[in-house]
Amino acid sequence: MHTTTEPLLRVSGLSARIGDLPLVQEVGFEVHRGRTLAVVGESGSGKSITAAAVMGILPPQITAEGSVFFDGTELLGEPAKRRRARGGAEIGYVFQEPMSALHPLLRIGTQMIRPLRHHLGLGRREARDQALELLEQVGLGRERKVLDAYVHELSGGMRQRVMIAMAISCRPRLLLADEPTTALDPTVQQQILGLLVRLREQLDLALVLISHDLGLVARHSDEVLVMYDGRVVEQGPTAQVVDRPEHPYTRALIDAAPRLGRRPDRLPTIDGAVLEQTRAMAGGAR
Amino acid sequence: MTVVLDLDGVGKDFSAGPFFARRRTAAVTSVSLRVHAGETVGLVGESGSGKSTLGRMAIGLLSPDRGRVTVQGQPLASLTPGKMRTFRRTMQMVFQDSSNSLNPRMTLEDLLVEPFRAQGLHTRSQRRHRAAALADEVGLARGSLVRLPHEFSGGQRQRISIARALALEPDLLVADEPVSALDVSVQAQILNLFKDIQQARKFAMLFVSHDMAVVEFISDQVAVMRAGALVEFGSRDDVFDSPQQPYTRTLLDAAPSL
Repeated sequence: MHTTTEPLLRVSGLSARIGDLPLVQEVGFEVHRGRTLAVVGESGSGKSITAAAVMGILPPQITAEGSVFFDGTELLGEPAKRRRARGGAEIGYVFQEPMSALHPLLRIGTQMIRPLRHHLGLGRREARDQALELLEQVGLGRERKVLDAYVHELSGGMRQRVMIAMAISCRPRLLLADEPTTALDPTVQQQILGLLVRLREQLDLALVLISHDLGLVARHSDEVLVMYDGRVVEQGPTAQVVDRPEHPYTRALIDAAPRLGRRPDRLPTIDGAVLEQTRAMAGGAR
Repeated sequence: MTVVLDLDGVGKDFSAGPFFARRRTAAVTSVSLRVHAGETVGLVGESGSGKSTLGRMAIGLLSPDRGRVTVQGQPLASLTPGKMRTFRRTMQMVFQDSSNSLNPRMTLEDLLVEPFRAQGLHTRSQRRHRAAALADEVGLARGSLVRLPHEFSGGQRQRISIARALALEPDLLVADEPVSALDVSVQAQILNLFKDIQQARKFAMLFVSHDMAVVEFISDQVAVMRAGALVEFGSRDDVFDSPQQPYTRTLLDAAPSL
């Protein structure tokens, strides 16, 4: 946002619907290399649909319109075959459930080596060396043990590290992480987010973090996009949005979460009036 | 204050590993802990710390390999299965994923009547009357008594689970990560509900969570578990203002905050 270069990813006027039912309306944002954007919202806010549209993995019954402009190319409506070649090689994905994203019957090594050979054209030996290097990069050490392991033999944090190693394996420029730490313990959450941010710096990536938890991503993002009911409610530099939220919904979302050091008798809840107002404002302004 | 739950040197082992090389590991080594009437003890720890196992032993869902669990002066180990069934009225549990614990073919009214039927309490019309009162207490509209579990949102289903747990007026409630799967705005409502109902009914509550901020909000006393052992116990203000153990400090530092 504060750089003069072109953004790596520019989403504008993105809408998605299933039949006549709008799921996401008029969403727009930009991400530059070396920066982190957090997309925050509760369930049903449309954050994951937005991510899926960018990733090109929307279910066939959902139609999307608008623009997803990545590094000089329009991705929306790109033929499926071209899109597949791009996925993984230019855009890396990290999902919430490494357990279901990784194959249960294949060794980690087999799964890591396949895309390296496919996208980068490496030989078997080179790919294996490269896989070891990637494991070291995500903090798992240059151990053969992990390569020979199956998913169920790894802890939750290790699985997510393997997912991240795979996501960066073909040197993408954009990394999309959809709730990458939701199922993990708080201490492990911080380690994984720290790792993502460090890799973003080392590899000069653009990073998009999708989360339901504003408190969690606040420390790790430069800009934030708050979504409600399929629309963007507020966006801006994270520090500014967290300290001085302009929108009553953002304010309410921040207040509703219990916070360390505060000991109120009751938690403020988001009342219907704010939600009503949010719907009206978002619908009118954008 | 009367002691409702008394855990005395309680421990539990589980076996793991291949059949011929099975090893026993202690999920809970030896924990002593008391919960008084009208008090909430927050039990916090990371996955694998043994906090859920301890919660299950506290209401007799698991029997301990060591030590003694006493609820309202009654040692659970000495109860015959028949006596245990009646005694379960005294202690109830709320789980994280309520949708799995609700029969998908029962209406809200059936679900709220079921605890009374299981214990053979009250007449038919009294049960229905009490079901409606429970729905009121946890903030579910009476008009929704005819609806099925899938017609409710996640937060509303958690309200149903709470109502079912409260139906028999237990002296002890164990809540195992009851708000972890909920959105922030819904979580706030359910946490407020737990607080209101406990202040009204004065039961003893063991509230199991991995979330430090949630535990700080809900608890009077806080117990920190790590690797099957209780590493710190004290009043909420003491534990959060001046944690004695470096591990508690680590948990506090890792907690997301704004």
